[in-house]
Amino acid sequence: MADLALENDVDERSAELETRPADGAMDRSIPSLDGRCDVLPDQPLPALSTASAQAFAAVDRRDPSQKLYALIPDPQLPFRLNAIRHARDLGDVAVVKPSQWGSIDWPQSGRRETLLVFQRPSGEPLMPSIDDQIRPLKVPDITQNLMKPMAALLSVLADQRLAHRNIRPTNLFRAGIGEPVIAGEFYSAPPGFNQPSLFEPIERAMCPPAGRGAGEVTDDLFALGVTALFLALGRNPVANLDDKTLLTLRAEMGSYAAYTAQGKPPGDLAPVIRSLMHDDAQDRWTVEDLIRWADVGVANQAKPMTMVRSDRGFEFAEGHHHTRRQLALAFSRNWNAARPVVLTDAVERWAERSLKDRDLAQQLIECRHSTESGPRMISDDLLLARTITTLDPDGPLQFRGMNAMPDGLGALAALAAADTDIAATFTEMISSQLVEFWIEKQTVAGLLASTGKGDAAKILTYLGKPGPGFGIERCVYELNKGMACQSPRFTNVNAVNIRELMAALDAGAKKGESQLDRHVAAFLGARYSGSIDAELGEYAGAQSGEDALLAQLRIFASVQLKHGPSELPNLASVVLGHLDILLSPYRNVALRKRLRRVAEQVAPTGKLPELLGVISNRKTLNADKKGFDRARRHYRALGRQINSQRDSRERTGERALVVGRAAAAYVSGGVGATVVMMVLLAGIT
Amino acid sequence: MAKKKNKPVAKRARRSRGGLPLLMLGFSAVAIGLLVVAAPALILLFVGMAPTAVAIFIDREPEKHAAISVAILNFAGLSPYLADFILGAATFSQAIALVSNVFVLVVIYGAAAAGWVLVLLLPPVSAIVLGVVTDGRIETLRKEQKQLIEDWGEGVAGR
Repeated sequence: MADLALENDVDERSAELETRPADGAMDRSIPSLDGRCDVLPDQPLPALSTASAQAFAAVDRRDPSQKLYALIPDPQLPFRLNAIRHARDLGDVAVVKPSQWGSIDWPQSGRRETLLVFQRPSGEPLMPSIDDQIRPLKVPDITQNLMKPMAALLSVLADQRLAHRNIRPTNLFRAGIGEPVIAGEFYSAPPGFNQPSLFEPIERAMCPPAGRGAGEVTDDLFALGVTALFLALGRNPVANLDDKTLLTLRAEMGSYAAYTAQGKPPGDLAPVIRSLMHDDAQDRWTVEDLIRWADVGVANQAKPMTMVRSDRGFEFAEGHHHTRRQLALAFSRNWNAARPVVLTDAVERWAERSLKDRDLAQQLIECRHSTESGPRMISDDLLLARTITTLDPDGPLQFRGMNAMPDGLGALAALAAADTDIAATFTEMISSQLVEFWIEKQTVAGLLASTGKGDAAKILTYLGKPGPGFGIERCVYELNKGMACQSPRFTNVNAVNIRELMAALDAGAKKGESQLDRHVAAFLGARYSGSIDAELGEYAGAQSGEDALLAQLRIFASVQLKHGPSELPNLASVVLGHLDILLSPYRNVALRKRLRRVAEQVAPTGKLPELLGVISNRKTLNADKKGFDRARRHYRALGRQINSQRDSRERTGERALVVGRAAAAYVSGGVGATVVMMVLLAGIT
Repeated sequence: MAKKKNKPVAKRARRSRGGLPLLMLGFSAVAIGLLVVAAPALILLFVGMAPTAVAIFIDREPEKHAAISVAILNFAGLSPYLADFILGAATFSQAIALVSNVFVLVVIYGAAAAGWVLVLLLPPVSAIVLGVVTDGRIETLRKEQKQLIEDWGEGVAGR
């Protein structure tokens, strides 16, 4: 239902756009969104740009005094449509909210781009860059101006089932010292995509940006803890460490210990930061804990990290690994080397003898066995993936170098759709039911598990159908609501909703070209409110060009009926070009001519459902079929009669003899009777 | 089954009867009548109807159309002389004189020959007529087929 509402919302926007003057109609030299907001390409704003979106100054035509900026997100990434939709419900909280959004013809790229317009946050970011040094913030300042507004923001976001996933010093702004902090935008890229990994909880930091997942407010709390640490120290305490080394340290000693090894926060802030940076999300502070601390100054500290360390480290990849997570990370990073190791019982023995964890050893043994929910055959790769998941059940899904959180499968699918190697690994990971195994290993059934389970089920369904409208492309659009259609034919169009894509399809419709490529079909299938899977299946399974054309028309007609636009004259014209093929199921020549005439009358109106009604009418088709069957039987009967007449013609001589002699008898009879009568009459008279 | 078996037998019986038995019956009736009212006329009848006897013998068709044709015209040729015998007072000597008259025989046998002419002439004429009729029917049927192809396309012909 949420998706349907979302799509309707987008369609409304699109319908609204259609009724407005064309972009730039007022001043063609300056790109304009809906004729209301001008965007200035010659005034980039690097401070507000992100890794995946460029920022430019923007001016509201009705109120030029407003300080606006516009972001143009990377068209290959899904932006957070759901978050944009919910932004208006967030109320008066400390976060930048989009004032307008839509598509715009962008001169710099020469294509249509998605544009998000925001109120420009007052002031500068708290840190110009992550590695810059600033004057450390005082604890009361952090409490009052950072923690309080952020706690309120996260509370509201949690109510909307959203997470910011972009909280860091470079995306927090304030007008001046003593002023409350406002969080920057989080709409232009997938959750966590632009977040440096050091602001991510360890399990999400193990993933590439695309696989970090939607996340929850608890992830924002971790980022807030790291941010508070940075601001309290006035610098990045781990600036000298690269991401890989930092991750290794975090896995070995815990995030808080790793971050504070080279700089301790002030004493009264340390427990707060430690509670926020707890590596176990279950033990991490909640928003309520943070609010209580910010308001009253008192809250229960999070339990200290308990990390079971083995006496004897597991020797692997030139290192000694003492914790489960450390070993899991090492296996994941050295996949090929780890594969033969898990085939032996070395890890089980280490778990039992060094970690003294018999239960873990038993679980590792069970990894080798297929369960009811798993695949029949456990490949070496899957065994390693299962072993890693068993060692680190809080960690991401890890399969042959591909790491992703279960709620990050959507963004990962988007990457996979563009790269065949990633697609193969992604498909194998999903089809081997690793997500289900990961869920089995969770001690708490949270939102993450349910999201992952739902997404994996969807992916498995669509990957199982290879035809257009399904497959990996369908997964991309099903799991990324803000993803523009990635069809190579429409790269310049940036169609985010079904209506825009249909308009683009109509504009680019050419005779002789299939209008439905895999991306277009998948996009329509995913964005259609309802289901057109039957029509897509018909298209995928079409045995002939005629069937494919008809199925294509059915899809477009269904989409137009439900989503518009009301007129698609070019597509209708293309259909007209194929009328001979489309009307070929009709056998009656006169009927075909009549249907052609009607279709030619309907096509200029651009109403595909009506055109479909003319071309493919089941009742007419049945009547035509019956008529044809009757005509064929009649034709055969006539053939038999002709043959019979031919036979008769060949036997004319025989028949003529019989008939001629009979005729002779009759003629004789007539003549004879006449003569006898005349004789008798003459004799009597 | 029994009915089916009986049908062809009945058909054959009906076909084999033809018009000859009726003719023979009529002939016999005429002969008996003549025996009663004008016995000398029987000589004329037997001599005059000789071509018919030959025709009956020659005609191997079950319907005996040729024989019928010859018989009727043969009798028509004979009828004026026979009428004179029946209506007048005929004697055996008159009957013998009449059958000895070549002219009379030419008339009677000529009439029989006319019957043969009809038997020989009408089959070729019938052949021509039947051929024309059959060709006409075939043409009509073909036109109907062509119309079906025009209405429904080549597919209707199974092509």
